[in-house]
Amino acid sequence: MKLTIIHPAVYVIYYLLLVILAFLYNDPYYMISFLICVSALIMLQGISREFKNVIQFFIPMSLLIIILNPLVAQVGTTRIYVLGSYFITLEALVYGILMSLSLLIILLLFASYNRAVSYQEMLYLFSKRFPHISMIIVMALRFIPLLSYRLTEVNKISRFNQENQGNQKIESRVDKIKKTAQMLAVVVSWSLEESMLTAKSMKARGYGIMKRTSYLSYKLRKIDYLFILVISATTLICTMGLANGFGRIEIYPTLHFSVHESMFNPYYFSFLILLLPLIYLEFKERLIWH
Amino acid sequence: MDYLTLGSWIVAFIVMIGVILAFFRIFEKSKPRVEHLVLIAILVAISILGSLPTAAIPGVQAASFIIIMTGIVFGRETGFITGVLTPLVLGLFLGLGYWTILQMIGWGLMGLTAGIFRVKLGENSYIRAGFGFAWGFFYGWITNISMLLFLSSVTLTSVLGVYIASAPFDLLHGVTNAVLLILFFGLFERIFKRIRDRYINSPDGEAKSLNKQ
Amino acid sequence: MALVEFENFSFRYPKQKNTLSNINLDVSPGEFVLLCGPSGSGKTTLLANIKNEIKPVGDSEGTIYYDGVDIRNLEEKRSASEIGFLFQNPEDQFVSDNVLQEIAFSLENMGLSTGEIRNRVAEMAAFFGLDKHLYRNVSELSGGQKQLVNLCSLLVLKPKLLLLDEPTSQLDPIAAYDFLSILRRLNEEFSITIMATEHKIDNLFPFIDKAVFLEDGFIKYKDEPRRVCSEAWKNDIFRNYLPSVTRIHFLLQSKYQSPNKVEIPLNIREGRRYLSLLNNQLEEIPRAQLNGGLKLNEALNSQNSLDKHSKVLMECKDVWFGYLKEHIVLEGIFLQVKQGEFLSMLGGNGTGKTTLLQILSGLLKPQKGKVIHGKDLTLGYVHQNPLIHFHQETVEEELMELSAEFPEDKSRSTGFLGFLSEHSSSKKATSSVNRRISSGDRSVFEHEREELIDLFGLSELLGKHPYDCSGGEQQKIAITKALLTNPDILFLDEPTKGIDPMSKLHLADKLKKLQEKGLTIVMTTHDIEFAAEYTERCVLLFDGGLQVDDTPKSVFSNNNFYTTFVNRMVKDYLPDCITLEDVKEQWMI
Repeated sequence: MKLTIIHPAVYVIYYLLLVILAFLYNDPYYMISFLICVSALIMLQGISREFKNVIQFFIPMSLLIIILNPLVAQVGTTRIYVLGSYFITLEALVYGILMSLSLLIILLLFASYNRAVSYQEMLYLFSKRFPHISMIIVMALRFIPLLSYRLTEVNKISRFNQENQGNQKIESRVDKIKKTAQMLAVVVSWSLEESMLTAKSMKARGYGIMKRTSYLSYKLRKIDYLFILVISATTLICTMGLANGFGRIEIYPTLHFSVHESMFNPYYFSFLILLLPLIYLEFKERLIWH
Repeated sequence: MDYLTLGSWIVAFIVMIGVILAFFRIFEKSKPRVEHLVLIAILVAISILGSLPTAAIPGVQAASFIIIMTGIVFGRETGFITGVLTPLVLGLFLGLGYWTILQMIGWGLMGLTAGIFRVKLGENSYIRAGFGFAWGFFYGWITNISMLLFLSSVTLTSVLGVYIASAPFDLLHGVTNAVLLILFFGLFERIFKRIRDRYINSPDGEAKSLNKQ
Repeated sequence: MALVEFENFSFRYPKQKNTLSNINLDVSPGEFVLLCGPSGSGKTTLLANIKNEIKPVGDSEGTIYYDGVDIRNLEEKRSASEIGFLFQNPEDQFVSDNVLQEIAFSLENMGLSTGEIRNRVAEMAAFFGLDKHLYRNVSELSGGQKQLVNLCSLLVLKPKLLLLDEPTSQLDPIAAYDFLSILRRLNEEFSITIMATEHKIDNLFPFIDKAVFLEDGFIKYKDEPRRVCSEAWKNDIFRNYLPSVTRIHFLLQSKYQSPNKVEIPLNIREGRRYLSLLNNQLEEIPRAQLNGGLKLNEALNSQNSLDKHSKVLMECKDVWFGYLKEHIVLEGIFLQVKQGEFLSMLGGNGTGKTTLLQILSGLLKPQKGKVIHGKDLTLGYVHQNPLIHFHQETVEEELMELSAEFPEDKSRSTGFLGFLSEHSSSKKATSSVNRRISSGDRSVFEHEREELIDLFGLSELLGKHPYDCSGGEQQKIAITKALLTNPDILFLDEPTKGIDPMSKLHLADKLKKLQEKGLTIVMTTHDIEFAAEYTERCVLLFDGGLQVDDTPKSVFSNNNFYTTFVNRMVKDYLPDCITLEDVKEQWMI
């Protein structure tokens, strides 16, 4: 159950901001702090299960990034010779690793976003300007389980017919595709036929005679303003920091990275503060409800 | 990533979203009939069903096929909208991400182009198969952009590298499209046309359908 | 003043003859009007014409007035909110995936403010006890709940007139009964005017104000229910549409004189009162024949009829099935299907009738236990929704499909098609028939197909698209298609769902004929009357097990509530009688 209640638009802006920042920062300290905070958020949101999906998607992609980067970008100065005169550069390798870290953060951010903002809320934001499109989306979401039920029934019948009409040949892949498409065809024609009754029912209930309103209604509340205030202030400071090179390390042409210089400055703290409000809110809810 | 590259990526994404939203606006303004909305919703649901790896359909990516068929039979607007909404709804089901936008563009353009060349595609099965096959790759190339974001520089070699890595998948996608479009064009055309003629272009004259040729 | 008024109204679909002709009908505010008639008589067209938004395309003459306004000039907003239209299939009316959104949908269309929407939803959800289900996905609801949600979605608009097109035809009897009670409440307590079409009218007739019987687009009878009953009884077709209680009344009336003039009974209570008036005369009928002795005979008979088909075709042993561990549908079922029998499976919603049928027919595999049958047994299966079986352009192609794919090399088992052919009366002949088919000569097969088409009266439909046929016709096409595979056992899932009484009679007649020719039929049904009248064995499922397995007579005569209307009425006099035929026989009428 989703507990934290912030205006969905604020959520959208916040997550968008975080995704952009995930691309911008490449200092390992920042990245790791980022990763820890997002992970904490995900744990608090109670979606550790989705963590697995994210990792499954992440591993092949990150491998590709780490391998491809040095292969295609030979711009660094620190050469590592692999085969004879063929070399890759340390810089490109590091870049790849940091980038795959960004990818991980972004994937986790999206996982968290999908949890934080329900599709009803997203559609609420969307439906003001695109009422018909949102209606299509709502209906499509309703049709998916219905069609999937129909597909399993059609599948049963098709297997049944096969067994009882006695052509049990060994199936090639083409046969399988053929069968699938035929089943899909039955579901398609059946559902299209029935969907026209849905259209009638919508018309009978007055769809389209005037501008639609919504059962849901969100107003910006005090907490939203506070939230906006915090994130805009910290983002401002972070941007200033980034402009001065805080949070970014120089990779090309030569890797420049030392332990001391980038820590413990107001920019880093404001970055942390930017990450915290949602975690704080989720944590508070946890305490109340457990 | 340096600011310039990031900036251009952001601009690129904003343009993509802008194009999609502009199309949506046009659709909204065209005052679509209720039947049309339900039709698109069903088509979207079907292509999602065709792309979910469920037990019922083993290993066939039928979404592209449905979207191309939609474009051919119902015209470019319906094709585009169906193509664009398929990954969006899929995203609402399985989780959204920045790649959703690229998929929207990929499938949207697929439906759009199918609608633009509908006459040719309807007549000639070779062109149809070639179209499906080619779109297997185009779609792959468009969605691969999500990988390019994480490479140091967008150069010919880096682009080639990513595309070679995805080539087997694109090939499979293209071949599946071509096979489906050869084998089942007639069947699905018949089914779609029945609905189009009976409900979308119904004879009561008030049909402001989007698919005027 | 009438709320709805038809004035010489006629309607015709493009390029067809009149669907509605010269309709004159007044409906006063607060009235409950029932429209009856065979499918194709124009009931639905009549209802749909009152609702501007879904008015069918075609030419109309005459006028319909709603509250004094010509319906064509009725404001959109008024038409949408004051006239509610409920369709037959609950599934097709949903546009969103949860209950709350669905109920709010119509309010959102009307552009009401969020506060107002919430108020109305809250009120309606509380009234119907849906508040617990608000966030549930619509696909998780039962059929009755679905239809209730659909009704709610209309009622939030505060309609004055409800148009209901066979609202309970897809529901099981209990859910249908609940739904009708709600309609009654809406009508009596809130004075909402209701116009409904319905086939199962036993529960509806007692509380309607006016019944309208349609035939070929003309109004045949239109009156207060009792008067309509006495008119309709004189008509061979429409008498089948009357409630069982009323039919018994008319049957008795033809033979026995009631002491004083009585009102025509419409519900069980009135029916019983009527019987008590005839008490003396009924008692003059020899008691022995009615009671003890008869019971014994019956028991013996039933025993015989069960044993008659001794050969077991199929058997399931200790079958378990469930989708989730917490929710097991079938718990250790033992069941035998014997050659030549007509078996019906009954039970409430979600007791696993369909699941058991699918397991028997091999559509589903049980998680535990076995279904044993002979190796060369061929099965036919017809799904609840016959549409699932169709994938061709015309009915003819649909039925030709099989011969096109006819297996060339498989020597076919002796099934039922052979019995149908009059030329082949013995099994030997049948198998030779089959051999001839397999050797490529299809003419015999063609011949058998022709016979099936004749039997089910499908020849006029051959050129039609299967989707354009009526529900009863689709059912028959699907059954014919299943029979073409020459099955030994035919499995039917709810074959009578949503079809009108005449089609039902027709279908039952055909099934009976097929059974006499040797076909074994297993069906699930909600239709107690149908099971009582035509099947030989009833299985009642409850709580994962087979509760009762006996002849319909003993199953239903033991039940007080879950039994036929006939039995409920005559229980005190003829406890064993469950169908109209039984009553006729016993009282010699």
